[in-house]
Amino acid sequence: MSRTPARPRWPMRRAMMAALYAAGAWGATPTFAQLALKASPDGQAWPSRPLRMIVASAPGGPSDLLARLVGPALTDASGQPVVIDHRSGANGMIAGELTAKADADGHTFLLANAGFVINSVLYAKVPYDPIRDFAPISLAISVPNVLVVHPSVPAKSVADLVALARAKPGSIAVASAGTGSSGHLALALFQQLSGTEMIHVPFKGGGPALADVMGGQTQAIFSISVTSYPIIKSGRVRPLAVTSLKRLSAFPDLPAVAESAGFKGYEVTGWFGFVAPAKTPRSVVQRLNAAVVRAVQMPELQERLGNQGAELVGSTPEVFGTYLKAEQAKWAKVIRQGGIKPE
Amino acid sequence: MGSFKFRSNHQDFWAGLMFLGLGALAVYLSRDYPLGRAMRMGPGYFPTYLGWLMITVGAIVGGRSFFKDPTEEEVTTKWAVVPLALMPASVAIFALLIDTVGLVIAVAVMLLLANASVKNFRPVELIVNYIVLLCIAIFVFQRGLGVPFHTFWEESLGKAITELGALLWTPFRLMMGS
Amino acid sequence: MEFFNDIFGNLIMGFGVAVSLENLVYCFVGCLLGTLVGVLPGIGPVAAIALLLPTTFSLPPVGAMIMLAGIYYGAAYGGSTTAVLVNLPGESSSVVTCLDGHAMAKNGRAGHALAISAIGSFFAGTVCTLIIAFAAPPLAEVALKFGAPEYFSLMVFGLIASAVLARGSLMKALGMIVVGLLFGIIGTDVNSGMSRFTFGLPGLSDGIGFVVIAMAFFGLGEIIKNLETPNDERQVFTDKVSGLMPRWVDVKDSAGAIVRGTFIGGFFGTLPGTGPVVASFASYAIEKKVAKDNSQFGKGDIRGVAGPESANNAAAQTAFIPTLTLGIPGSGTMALMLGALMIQGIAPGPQVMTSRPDLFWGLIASMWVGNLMLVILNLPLIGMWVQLLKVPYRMLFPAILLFMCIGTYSLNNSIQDPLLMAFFGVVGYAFMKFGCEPAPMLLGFILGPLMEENLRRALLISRGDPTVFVTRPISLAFLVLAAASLLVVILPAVRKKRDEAFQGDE
Repeated sequence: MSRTPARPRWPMRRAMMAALYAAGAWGATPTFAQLALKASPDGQAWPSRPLRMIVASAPGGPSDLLARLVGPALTDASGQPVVIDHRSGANGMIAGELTAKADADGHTFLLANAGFVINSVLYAKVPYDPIRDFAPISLAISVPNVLVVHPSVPAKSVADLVALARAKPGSIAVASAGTGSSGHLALALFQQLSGTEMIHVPFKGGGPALADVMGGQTQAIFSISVTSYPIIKSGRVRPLAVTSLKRLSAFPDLPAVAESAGFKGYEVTGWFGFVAPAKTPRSVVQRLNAAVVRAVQMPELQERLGNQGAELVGSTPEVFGTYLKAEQAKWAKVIRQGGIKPE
Repeated sequence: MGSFKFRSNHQDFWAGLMFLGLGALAVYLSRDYPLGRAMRMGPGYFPTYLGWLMITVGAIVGGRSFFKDPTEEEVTTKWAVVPLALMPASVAIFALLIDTVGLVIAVAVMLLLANASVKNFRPVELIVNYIVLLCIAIFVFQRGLGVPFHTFWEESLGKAITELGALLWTPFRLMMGS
Repeated sequence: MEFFNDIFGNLIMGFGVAVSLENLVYCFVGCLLGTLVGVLPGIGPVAAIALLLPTTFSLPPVGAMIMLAGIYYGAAYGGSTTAVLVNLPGESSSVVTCLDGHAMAKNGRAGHALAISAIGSFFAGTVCTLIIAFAAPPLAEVALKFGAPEYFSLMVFGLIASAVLARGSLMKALGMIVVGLLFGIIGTDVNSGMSRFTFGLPGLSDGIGFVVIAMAFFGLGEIIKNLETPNDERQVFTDKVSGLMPRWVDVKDSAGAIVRGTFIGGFFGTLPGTGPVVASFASYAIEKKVAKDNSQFGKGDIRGVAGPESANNAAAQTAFIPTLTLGIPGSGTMALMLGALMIQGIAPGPQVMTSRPDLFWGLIASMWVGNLMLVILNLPLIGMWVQLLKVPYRMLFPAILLFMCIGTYSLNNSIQDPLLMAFFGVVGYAFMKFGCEPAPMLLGFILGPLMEENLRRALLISRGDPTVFVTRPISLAFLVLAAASLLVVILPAVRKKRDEAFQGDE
C-alpha cells in the first residue's frame, strides 16, 4: 500500500478483486510461491505465520492510520501478512493484557498509546505491568496537544489564561477526551504548575470534546494536534500554545507552554509505539524495530500525520524503554498530586 | 372492575415484581458508589435515583394488579419451558466450545441441542442444515470476514484444509492477475 | 440565484468526478457487499462496514470514496432487511423497523415492507443529499449550538416519544425505559472512571454491547416465543405471500410518512450520537399520532415502516454534515468512514470544501449514486429475501441462532458476548411474558449513558444550577415537546377512563 495505486487498466477486474477479497479470505492467504517457500513451518523460524498487530483503540483515527501504514512495511520486511486486531476495550487494558499473555515468539505485538502507561498508575487493578511484561520495540510517533480556547475567551496567551483563571477560580471549563487521557493530564499538570483552579469536563473521545469547545459550551481544551489541526486552521478556535517541549513545525508561530513563566519543562505528549511480550527474542525485536523505523520514514506518514503536528520518531528499543519508565514516574506524580485516582 | 385481591394470573403483578426487584438490586449495588452533589454528581447519584424510580414504577404497576382483573391481553400465559431452557443453552454451549474444539464440533453440538425442541427428529434435514451452516460459518465468517474461529480442535488440521483451499484457489488468483 | 447556480455547478462537477463506468462498478460492488454482509443476522452495519473497509484501501481515492458510500448505504439497508425478515435489529435505528416490518413479514407482506423501505430510503437519501449540498455549513452551526443541556433535554424527549409508541400500558413502557437506563449504567463511569454494576467481571467494564441486548430481547426472545407451540408444522410466516413489488396503494399510503420521516431524520441526523435513533422513534410516534386509523400500528402498518425507514436513512445521510464540515464524526460508523477517508489522504474538515472541492462535491455526488444503486440493486433482491422465509421454521431458527452466536462473538472476538446474550434472552422472554415491550427498553439502554453523561456535564458547567435546562431556548423547546407528547397520550386515556367511570355509575 506504500505505492500510490496507478490508474487501473481493468476497472472491472480491480473491482472484482476487491469483491473477492471480501468474499473470501483468499486475499489474505499467502500466494503460491510464498506457500511453497514456507511449506515446512517448524515453529522455530521467524516469521512462520501471519503477524498479529493488536491495536489498543477502535478503527479510525491516528492509530488506525499508523497501523495501516506500518502493516504493509512489516509485510515487506517479513514476507508475512499482518493482521490488524482492534481491541479498544477498557481504555486499552484488554489489548495490553492480551499482548502480555500472548506467545513471546515475535508474531504478536501491540500498537500502544499513552494510555498504556497512564492506566498502570491511574487504575487500581491493571492486568499488566507496562514495564515488566513487555519488550519495547520502538516509539513510532509522538503527538503533542495544543491548548486551544473558544474565540470568545479573552485570553491571547498562556499568561492571559492563567491570569483569567486566577481572577475567577473555577470559571473556566476545560474539556478533555476522558478521565486519564493525555489532555486531562495536560490540564492537571497545568493547574499544578500555575496554581489555578479550572473545571475539568470529561467527554467520551476527543472529537465530541473539541466540538463542545467549538460551540463555546466549554472554554478550552488540550487537544491532540492531529485532530485539532484543521479546526485551528479554520479559525474556529484560538490556539494558545503547544504542549511539546519545543515548538512544532506544523505550528511555527505557536509557542510551547514551557516557554511561559512558571511552566519550565512542561511537556505532555500523547504517543504511539510498538511493544511485544516481554520474552520476545532480542533478534526478532531488532527486526521489528528496523521495519517500524523504516515505515515511520515513509513520505505518506509525514504527509498525513507529520504535517499536522505529529512528530515522527522511530526510536531504538532502548530509548523507548527508558521513555516508558520516565513516563510512568512522571504520571504517577501528577496523578497523586492532582488526586485523580478514580474512586 | 374487581375488588382488592391477589391475582397471580395478572401480568402486571409479575412485571411490577420484576421492576421492584431490579430497582432494589440497583439501589443495593449503588450503595458503595459515592453520591456526590448535584453540581458534581458522583457515580452513585444517577443509579441510586434511577433505582428508586424503578421501585416506584414497580410498586404502581404491581399494585394496580390488586385492584383490577386482567383483561384478555393481560392474563399470564404458560411459559415455554423447553425452548426457554434449550435456546439459551445451545447459545451457551456454542460459546463454551468454540475456542477449544472449533467450529465443526461446536456447530454440531449446538444444532443438536437446539433441534431437541423440535418434535420429530429428521436426520436428513438436520444433516443438510448442518453442512450448509458449517459452510457459511467457515467460508463467510471465518475465511471471508476474518472472525478468528478454529475450524477444528487441532489448529494444524484446520490449517491443512485452509492451505489446500488456498492451493486450489491459486490458479484463479493468477488468472485474475493479482 | 447566483448561489443556486454555484451549487448546481458544483454538483455537476461532483458528478463529473464520481460518475464513470469504473466508479459505478465500484459503487455497485460496494452496495452489493454492504447489503450481503449487512443482511447477515448478528452483523450490524457498524460491524459490516468495519469488516469491509479494507477492501477499499487499495483503490484510488475517488473509487474508494464511492465504494465506501455503496458499502455504507448497503450495510444500513441490509440491516433493515434483517429487521423485517427475522426481527433482529442490527443497529439502534432499526429497532423501530422491527415493530411493524416484522409484523408485515408474518402477514406475508415482507416484500411490501422491503420495497417501501427502499423507496422511502431513496427519497430520503435524495432530499438529504440536496440538503447537504445547500445547507451543510448552517446546519453544522445549529449542531454546535447543542451543548450538554440541549442533549439531555433531547434525550428526555426521545424517551417520552418511545413510551408513546408502546401498545400496552404507558406505565409499563416507562418501567421498561428505566430498565434500559439501568442496563445502560453497567460499565465504566465516564466522569470518574469507576466501574459500576460490573460484578467484578472485567469484560463488563465497557458495558454490554447494543447488539447483545438487541439480539437477546428481540432475536432470542422471538425464537423462544415462536417455539411455544410444540408443533413442527407451526406457521410463523403465512403462506400467502401477497406480491413482491410495491403496490401503488402502499406508496400512496406511505407518501406522507416518507416525507415527514425524511425531514425529521434530516434534522436529527446532524446531531452527533443520538440523531438516528431519536429520529426513527420520533418518526414512528408521529405517524402513529397523525394516522386517522392507528389500530394496525404494531400489527403491520406500512406507515410504521415507511416513516422510520425514511427517517433513519435521512439521518444516515445528514450524519455526514458534522463529519464533513467540522471533521468531527458523530457516531462509530462515521468515525470508521472518516478513518477510511483519512487513509485515502482525504482529511474531512472545514477546509476540504475549499481546498479540495473536487473531492467534497465528488463525495456528495457519490452519496446520491450510492442511494440510487441501492434501489436498483435491492428491488430485484427482494424476491430472493422473501424466498428465504419459505424455509421451514424448524430449519430457519437454528440458523438464526447460529448467526446470532457468531455475530455476538465477533463483536469483541470473545465468548463473553454470546454468554451474556443467552442470559439476557431469558430475562427478555420473562419481560415479554409479563406484557412488557422491549423497544422502549432498548432506547433507554442506548440513551441512558448519554443522558447521565450530559446531565452531569450540564450541571458541572453550570456549577450546579439546574435552571440551565429551561433558560436555554433549545433545551426548553425539547422539554415542552416532551411534556406535550406525554399529554397527548395521557389525556385520551384519562378521558376514556372518566367516560367508563360515568358509565359504571349509571
